Amino acid sequence: MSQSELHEHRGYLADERKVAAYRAALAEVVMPADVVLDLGAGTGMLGYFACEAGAKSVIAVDRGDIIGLARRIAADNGYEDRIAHIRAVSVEARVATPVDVAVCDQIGGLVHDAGILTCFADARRRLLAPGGRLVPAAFRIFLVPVTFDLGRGTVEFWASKPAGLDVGAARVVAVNTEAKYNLTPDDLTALAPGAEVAAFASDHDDPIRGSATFVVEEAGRFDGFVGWFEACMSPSITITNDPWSADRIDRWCNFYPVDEALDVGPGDRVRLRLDVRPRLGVVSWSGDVARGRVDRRHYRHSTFRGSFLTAETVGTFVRDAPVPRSDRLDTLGEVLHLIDGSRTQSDVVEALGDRIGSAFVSSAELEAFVRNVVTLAR
Amino acid sequence: MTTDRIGAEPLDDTPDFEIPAHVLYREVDGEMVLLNLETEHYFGLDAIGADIVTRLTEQPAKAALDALVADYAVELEVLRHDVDDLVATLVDAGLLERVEGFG
Repeated sequence: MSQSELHEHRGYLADERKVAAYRAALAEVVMPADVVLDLGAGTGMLGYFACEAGAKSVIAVDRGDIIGLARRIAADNGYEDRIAHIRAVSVEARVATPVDVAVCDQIGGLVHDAGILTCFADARRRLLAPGGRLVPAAFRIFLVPVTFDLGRGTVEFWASKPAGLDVGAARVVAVNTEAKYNLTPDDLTALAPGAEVAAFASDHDDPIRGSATFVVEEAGRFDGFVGWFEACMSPSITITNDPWSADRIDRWCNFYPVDEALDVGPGDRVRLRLDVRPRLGVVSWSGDVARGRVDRRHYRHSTFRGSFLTAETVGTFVRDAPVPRSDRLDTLGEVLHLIDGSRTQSDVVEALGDRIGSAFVSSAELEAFVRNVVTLAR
Repeated sequence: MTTDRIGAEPLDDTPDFEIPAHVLYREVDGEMVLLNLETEHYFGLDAIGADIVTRLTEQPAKAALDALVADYAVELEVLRHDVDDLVATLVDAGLLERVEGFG
């Protein structure tokens, strides 16, 4: 585990408002004898809260090696007999019997961007008992047009010829990226009241579409939109990352820039259409700005245009095209042939070197290739 | 599958085809990748396919065909056949549509 990973999990534990909300929500939702599934468990905190709430058992799932640390922490806190740990991607996890409750903290800045929707939708289809409960259960998302110097500066940096270089191509990426910022009210100015753009259950992985028309109240520069969520954790508990809320949790917000900033004044209308595709991981935002009956600006953005893509990457997305053979695939075939259940990893490396060692630029590359295949096998 | 042949009757400077609003598209390494949000399917076009679609959505089909014939040094009927096939495939996949009011 890297220091940054550990720091990330420290942040999850150190956010007292969020921790308290999950603890209280699980106390409300979990019933005695429930089996609870903790997806993206990290250090396992939510599983311990489920145990506190009376869960009969917890299944903690995480794709990373942190699952070993979670196992240790569970033992240190006396929960080793009630928590089972599975190292797996959430959507590949299997359970022996359907669970009563699933809990997850992968909400991101605007819900779709950290995986909770696809995890919960999959859990609902495969892992939850009929009537199974989810924590959080539902979301509302809000956006507001803003003046946001830092966000605008981050976009325009790419047009500024840093180091005397023309890096303007990156600006197209920047204006089509949902950027994460930890925000307080001092960081930005809302040009109009925020609006709820969509509301949906936490196992909703179908498209999320919403729209809003904002009437500008405060003169300023329209740089884009800032979005936040409100999560319904239980019948009585909600959390939010609303930058203007005194009760906000310690979570970033997403900024959706528009290509060119535009000065707006009271009475101007800013229209927004938001289209979120959780399964694709694509977010599109478009709309216009009008003063009276005069259209002043149209904008259309999508993270599809902001993602780094190469022809090779695109090829993996296009499902209707033939998959080409390659030397790499042939090498993989050799490795798979050598893995017979009795050879050690060292045996496989040695045998592969004897057979096709010249296919690799170095022995280190060969060893890394085999290790990657072995990792997949586990 | 559409069986219309394109480029038959130029009306004005309006392109005869457009990429629908539910399709996102971008250039990648000289090729074009399209994403149909309704089907959530990606579609890839090589450089020539991308060039054809770009021209068909920027100018009338007749003008696009004339320009393609000149640039690719190919017989008009051969080109028309290839373009018809490409257009039919893209229309069937929901990635291209005739501009409303055309024809």
